[in-house]
Amino acid sequence: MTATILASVVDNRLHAIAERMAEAMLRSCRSTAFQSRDFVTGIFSAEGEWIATKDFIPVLAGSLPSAYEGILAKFAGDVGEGDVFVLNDPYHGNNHPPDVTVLKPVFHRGVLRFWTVTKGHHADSGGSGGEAGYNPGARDCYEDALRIPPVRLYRRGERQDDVWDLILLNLRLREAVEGDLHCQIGAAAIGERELLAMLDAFGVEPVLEAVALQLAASARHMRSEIARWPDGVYEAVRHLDDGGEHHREPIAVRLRLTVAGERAVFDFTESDPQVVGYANSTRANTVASTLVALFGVTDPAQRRTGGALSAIDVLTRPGTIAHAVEPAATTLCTITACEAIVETVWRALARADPAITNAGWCRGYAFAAIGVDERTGRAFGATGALKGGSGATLGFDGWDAIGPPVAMGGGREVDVELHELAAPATILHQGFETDSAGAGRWRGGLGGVSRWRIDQDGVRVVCIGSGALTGTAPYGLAGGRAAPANRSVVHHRDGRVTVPRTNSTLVLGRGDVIEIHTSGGGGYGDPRERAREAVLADVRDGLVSAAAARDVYGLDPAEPGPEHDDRAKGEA
Amino acid sequence: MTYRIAIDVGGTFTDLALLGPDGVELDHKTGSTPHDPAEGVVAGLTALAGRAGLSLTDLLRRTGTIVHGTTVTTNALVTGTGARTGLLTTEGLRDVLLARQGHRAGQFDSRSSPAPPLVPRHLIETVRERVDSTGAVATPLDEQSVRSAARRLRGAGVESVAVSFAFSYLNDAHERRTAEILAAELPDVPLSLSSRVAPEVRLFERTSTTVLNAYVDPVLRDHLGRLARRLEALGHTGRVLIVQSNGGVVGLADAAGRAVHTLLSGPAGAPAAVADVVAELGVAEAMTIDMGGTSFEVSLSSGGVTGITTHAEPAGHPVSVPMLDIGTIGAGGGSVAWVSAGGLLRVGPASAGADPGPACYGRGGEAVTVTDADLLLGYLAGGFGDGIAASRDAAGRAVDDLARRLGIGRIEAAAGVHRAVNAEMADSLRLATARHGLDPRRLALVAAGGAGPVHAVELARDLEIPLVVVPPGASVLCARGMLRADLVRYYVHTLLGRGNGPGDAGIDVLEVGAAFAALEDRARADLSAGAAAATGIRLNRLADVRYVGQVHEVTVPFPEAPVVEVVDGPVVDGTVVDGLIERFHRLHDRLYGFAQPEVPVEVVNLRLEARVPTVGPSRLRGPAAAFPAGPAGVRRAWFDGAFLDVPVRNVGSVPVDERQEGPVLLAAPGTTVVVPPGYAFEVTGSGTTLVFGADRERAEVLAGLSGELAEAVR
Repeated sequence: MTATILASVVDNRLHAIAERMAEAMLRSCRSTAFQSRDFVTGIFSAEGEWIATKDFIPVLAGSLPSAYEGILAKFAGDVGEGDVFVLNDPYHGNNHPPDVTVLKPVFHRGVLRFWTVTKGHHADSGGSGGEAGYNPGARDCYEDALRIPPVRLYRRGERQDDVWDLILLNLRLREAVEGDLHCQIGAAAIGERELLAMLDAFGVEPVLEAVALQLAASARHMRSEIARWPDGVYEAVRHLDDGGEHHREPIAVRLRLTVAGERAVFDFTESDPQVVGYANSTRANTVASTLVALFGVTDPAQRRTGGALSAIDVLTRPGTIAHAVEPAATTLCTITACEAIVETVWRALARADPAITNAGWCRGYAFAAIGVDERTGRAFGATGALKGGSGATLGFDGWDAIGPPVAMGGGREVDVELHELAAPATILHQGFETDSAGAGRWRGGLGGVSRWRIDQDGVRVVCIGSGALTGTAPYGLAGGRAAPANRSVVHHRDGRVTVPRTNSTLVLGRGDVIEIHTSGGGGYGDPRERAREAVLADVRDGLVSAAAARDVYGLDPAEPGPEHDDRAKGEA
Repeated sequence: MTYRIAIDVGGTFTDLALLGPDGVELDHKTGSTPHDPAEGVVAGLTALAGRAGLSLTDLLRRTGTIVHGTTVTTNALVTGTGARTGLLTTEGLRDVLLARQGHRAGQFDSRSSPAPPLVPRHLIETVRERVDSTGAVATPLDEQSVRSAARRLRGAGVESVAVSFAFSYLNDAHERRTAEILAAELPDVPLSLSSRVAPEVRLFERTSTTVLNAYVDPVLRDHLGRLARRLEALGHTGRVLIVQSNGGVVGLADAAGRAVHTLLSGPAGAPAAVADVVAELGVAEAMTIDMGGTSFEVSLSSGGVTGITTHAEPAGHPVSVPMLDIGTIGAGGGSVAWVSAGGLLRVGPASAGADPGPACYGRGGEAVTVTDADLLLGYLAGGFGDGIAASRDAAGRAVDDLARRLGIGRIEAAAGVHRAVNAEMADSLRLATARHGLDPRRLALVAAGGAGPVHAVELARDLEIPLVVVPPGASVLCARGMLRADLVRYYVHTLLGRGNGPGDAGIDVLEVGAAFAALEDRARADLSAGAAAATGIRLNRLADVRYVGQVHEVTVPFPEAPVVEVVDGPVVDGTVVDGLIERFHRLHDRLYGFAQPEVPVEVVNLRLEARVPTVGPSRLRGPAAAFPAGPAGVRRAWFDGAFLDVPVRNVGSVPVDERQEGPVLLAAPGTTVVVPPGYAFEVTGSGTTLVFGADRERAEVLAGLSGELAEAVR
């Protein structure tokens, strides 16, 4: 077999192993976060090259290399067979505290050959956080979460009970976290088993040569994608709505993108200073978010590895929103900062050529509740609402309810029946909202409206996210229209109606109803050029109102009947 | 004694198998006729009758049972030609199906669109009603809203209606009453109720399954009606049984209302054939691959029994009913090879399909396919059938272009394609064995389909599988299996036992005993009627076990003999439960890399599989009838980096039970068994070809595979 062919074979095998690890996690996990696929797996070479991944939630994957470096910075030269390392601290290379990194060396006949890695969003990360670790009131990294620096969970196969106990004692949902840590470590062990079998089958030297070829191919692939972009310098600015309870001003992410041949430099150094609050992005998260943006507009068939990462430079300045330094809090960064960063990349590319990229996606916007279920006496955590839509691209409508670019559609929402079984709430309504998508020749994907009724008293709810301002709502492109912003209201049992502030905590009781409207995606191209039958189908399906068909799409209003418009039926 | 016929109607070919009163089996392959599948069936039956020396009418008159597997429902789904379907669901939850759980299969591919929904949004009606998560009625059914919805759907001309309400699996009263109203309002429209089609938690999956059922229901009814009339007109007075996705059969009337159960009806035939083959060899565990033109199917069996899954996504639409666990990957003879922008060779998932097909077919295909590579490498000695004359020149031209982009030669590129597709298939087989907790080194690899035997030995080498088995009639294996399909039923009892301490399952052995007794009573009642040549009901008891707080369960067989002949009620005692839990910890460790014996477990469901054979134990008969003598000779084929002059032999001409050594190409009807250097082969008395390492003896290999069953995961 020629080396090129073996490289293809090894490349496929490595990705199959990463997939097998992910499947094991999916089948053995505890928390609803893991269940909705909020985790990734990966494989590193002995030298620390990121060579394979399964990235259900890609923003977690792009920070695997820096987490690896953080752990090696402490343990290089002191790594043994059977060791397992763990890390969650954002100031040791991790992206944000709820995503716990587990790293396992793979020794073959006594020699370190690979590493397997898993990273997942845990149900509880301590600190004063609420559901899934989000605390809008956090002022610094100590209020944000329990900080786990690189530590050894297993030494030569022996569990380090003292370290293990120190972590678990600081958590409310410790059974779920303990189970999910086992699940991560188990998956890393499965990856190890499969890698050893591969080394035995093909031999060490041919495999190492294949890995080098595979990485080079990945780098070449990304470079060839970049080479298709027009050379130039392109700038873009996007904002976070705020930084949490202690910083109620929009925060700017500023990008200066330089494209020269097959190389791209993403310069975020002019972004706003870091803030007091949980929205700050670590450098790891900024790099990861840049990769998400990049993979979202380049060949979807390419491998997402360190090879691709090597094709770009990401410049950041310590002390900014895109490169927070200790003691900034960072928990929200995988959502709002990630989205603002992704948008700057896409906007900058749109200046080069809109056809490369897409209109704005929805931003994450959710209510997360935590408490003890009176029906069962068991702790629960719940995050719900129909997600928003994605931005349209040249030739294609956006995807309905796909959620923000953080996941690129890789997650899966928890079923409404499972939500109601697991948490004291009733989902009265959860569906698409008419005219929630940005209009365009290709329209954005639809957003939705959800109404959840709380069925017991004293439930602590955090409203997290962004995209609730006109300036942060999904933008249109090439003549396409923007989508409406995220918004919400609470219908209290006593008849009051209040508007919760984004990134705040509230306490709700039995009979209170939260109503959440999520953005659709932005539209692409002039709506008046949209195919007539596509507009008529949307009107017939109640996704576009007759008024919008007439006023925005310029269609004869007499043509379609609005009989199935949700608003006509009084549902929304 | 009478004849028994199996008819497997696929998208491209219709395969038929005939079991005669003398126990001899014949088979025939003919082209499918998608515009009217019955036409192809009749053509195939006519040819089959000819081979049996009978007229068509004589054959059908003397045929007691016709077993039919069909992909008409799958084809309707794939081509979007199912019924115009309406959906009634709970008020407020109209878009559960359309929102797809927010998922996109092509994760980073924004230049793409989702598959069109089976029900467009304007045909989704909501009804005011609500059952809560305890099964209690929270909002009574608003019957008027059902009526007005029904009238709108009638006005829209729907041909089939699905009803799926929240928590109807706990309380089906609203769905039942809605069905009564719909029956009055839409008297000729078939109804599919989620509480009957898929009574399990998860509204999205339940709705998807129910809508799928509604979407293909009229298609299946129409097809079965036509076929039954046609067979009757031709003189058939016996019974017709329809193959279900679970591998079992049901009568025509039962099949019509359970259309979703036929979505995997075609591939579901193979396991029954494999069961006989491995039983004859005394092999405990087997992996079956069926590699055709566009797809590659894999299943695993233990003790002749293939596992069951309750989740599949045909054409991207989730379906949750018990089905044989048959995995499909997009690799087949038609899979297209390409070079990534980074310069690496990739194969699939795109396929050249039947049209234009591989470049060598000369029908305008320009892309390099696996078949083109196999042809250039000299492996395809068995011909193509179907009037196709393959062109080596056309294949060579296509491969040259690929080779240039890879910077290697023509043959190196062809060998690379062959190697790469093998590796991809091996990766998926490795995943499948890991998912089932099986060790490939203890498996036999049963190869079927036109391309399966061409690639099987290389796959086995890659996975360290010690034995490749190519049964007679490998290219029509599903039809062969359908001849001997059992009546099968699955039963589940939700237990929700929860332990309090380490190793505690928190279940009451008396409750378990009573639950199994009740399930077994139901099984006996359901299956006794159909047990024509019953040799007794075979039962298999399992439990779904997990650690408290986990989301998914591991299905663990009870540690008594996995299959028991029922005499009296089951005996379950404390030691059996302890054994079950120990088994769970072991399986969990093997599957997921860890066990937590220090935390409590819960037993979520008890499961019972019940099956009744519809024919007595059959013996495969001699190869002479099945394999006409064919050309022999020598051809050049690529092995270990060079072309060798390799003998071509007809399988039927190989002396029975005589060890031979490769390299050799064994031509069989519709396929070629490629035996590389370093491998030995033998053909058994029943016409089964065995291939194994030349350094080993057949008896030794078989002995190594005949051990106790591993704890396979179901």
